[in-house]
Amino acid sequence: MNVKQSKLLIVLLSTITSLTVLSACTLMTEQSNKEFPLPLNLKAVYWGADVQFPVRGLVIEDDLNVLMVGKESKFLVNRDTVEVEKITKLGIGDYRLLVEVLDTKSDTFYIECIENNTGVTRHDLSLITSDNIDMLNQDSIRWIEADEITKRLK
Amino acid sequence: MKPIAAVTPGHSPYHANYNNPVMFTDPLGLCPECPRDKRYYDARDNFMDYEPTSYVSSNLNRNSWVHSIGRNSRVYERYQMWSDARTLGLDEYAQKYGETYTNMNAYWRYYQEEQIANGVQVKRPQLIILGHASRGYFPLERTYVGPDSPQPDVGIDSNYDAVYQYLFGDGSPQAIGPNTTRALMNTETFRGVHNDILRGRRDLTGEFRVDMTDIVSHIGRTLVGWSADPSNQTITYSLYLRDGFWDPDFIDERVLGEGLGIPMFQADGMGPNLERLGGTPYEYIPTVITVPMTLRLFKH
Repeated sequence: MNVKQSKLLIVLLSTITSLTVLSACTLMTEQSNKEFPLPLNLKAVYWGADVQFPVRGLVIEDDLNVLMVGKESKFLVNRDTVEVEKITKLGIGDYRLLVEVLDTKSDTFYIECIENNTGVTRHDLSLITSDNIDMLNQDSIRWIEADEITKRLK
Repeated sequence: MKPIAAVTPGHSPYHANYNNPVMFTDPLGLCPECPRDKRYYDARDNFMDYEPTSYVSSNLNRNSWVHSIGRNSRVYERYQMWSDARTLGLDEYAQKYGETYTNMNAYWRYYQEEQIANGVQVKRPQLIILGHASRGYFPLERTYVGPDSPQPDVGIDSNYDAVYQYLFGDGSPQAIGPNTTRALMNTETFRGVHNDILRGRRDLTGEFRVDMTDIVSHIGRTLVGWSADPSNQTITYSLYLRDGFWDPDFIDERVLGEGLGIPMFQADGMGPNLERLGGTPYEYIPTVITVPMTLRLFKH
């Protein structure tokens, strides 16, 4: 048995062991724990090193896994383009979602996700940005720290 | 025999008008529809290897976003800028206009809102339903693969390839093979997003995640970016963005590291703590694929 064959054998044995462990653990932990459901068919998902490197962290996706808000996504706030560094807080309402975001300049701004019923575009959602939380409707909003969600998802 | 038969693959070089004189005209006797039809070329004027018979009529192409809004100078100007972005490249484009794609997405929405506010009825993008795509799957062999992409006949295309490269490779970035790419492009997620873009339900650019764990396990969860170009009627997808084969034993990392929280198994980025097998992690070279907007996928 040469070196290449022995290496391959080690990999195969290791993989079989891992699969056994994975099967056992899958029974104990449900897949739904990897997604945190949000209103409007949105969900919070943790993008670890298996998705991308450098790690993107906690992101907001829609039902087709399209990135709505997350690290490196960009928005216009007061006609300036700002880049998201980190999601810090989520405000959950019945039919809308508020996201508190830290940008790359460490400034805080807010994104409100609501259903798009204007008929202007075919987008399912309207994303409204503001750097002032008072400009957004906070009625019946329940705030959750993003770190808490991240702990549940990781 | 046609002088440029090479650009009509799948057809006999002795045919005329694809044997369909009702639908196609060929006044010069060279190649029906081809030389004067922009649809068969991408933004860089590279030929797109599509079977021309999959397009019913060139007139249908006029029912596009560009056509519906093209008479408005402001938005046309925007699309012209977007077209420049494709031609010039992002850096030159940013220097010329001082803008980013993000602004383009936002302006696209602002423009429509403004039009509504001014009482102007905005025409919605028209959908084009055509040809062999009705099978509901991406025929990858007929998809143009951009010059920056790997050739379709090379690349990592199985778990064996992936592990072998990890063990005996030098860590250089590797291209992903066509079978894997075909599988990715036929996932429900990919087809759903593609159809949404065609319906005008998405921005011109964006990213989404595809979970390939149950299909091609060494890819796992990976990222796909898109940029739609309405003026050229194309959508460019970049697959496997900043992804790579960090470790063959990523299952340990997920279960023992992330799941059970054992520190030595937790990922620390590229090449995590599990390199005990002596391999070398490597990145995937992103695969860039441009498809025409006329390729609609069903079953979603």
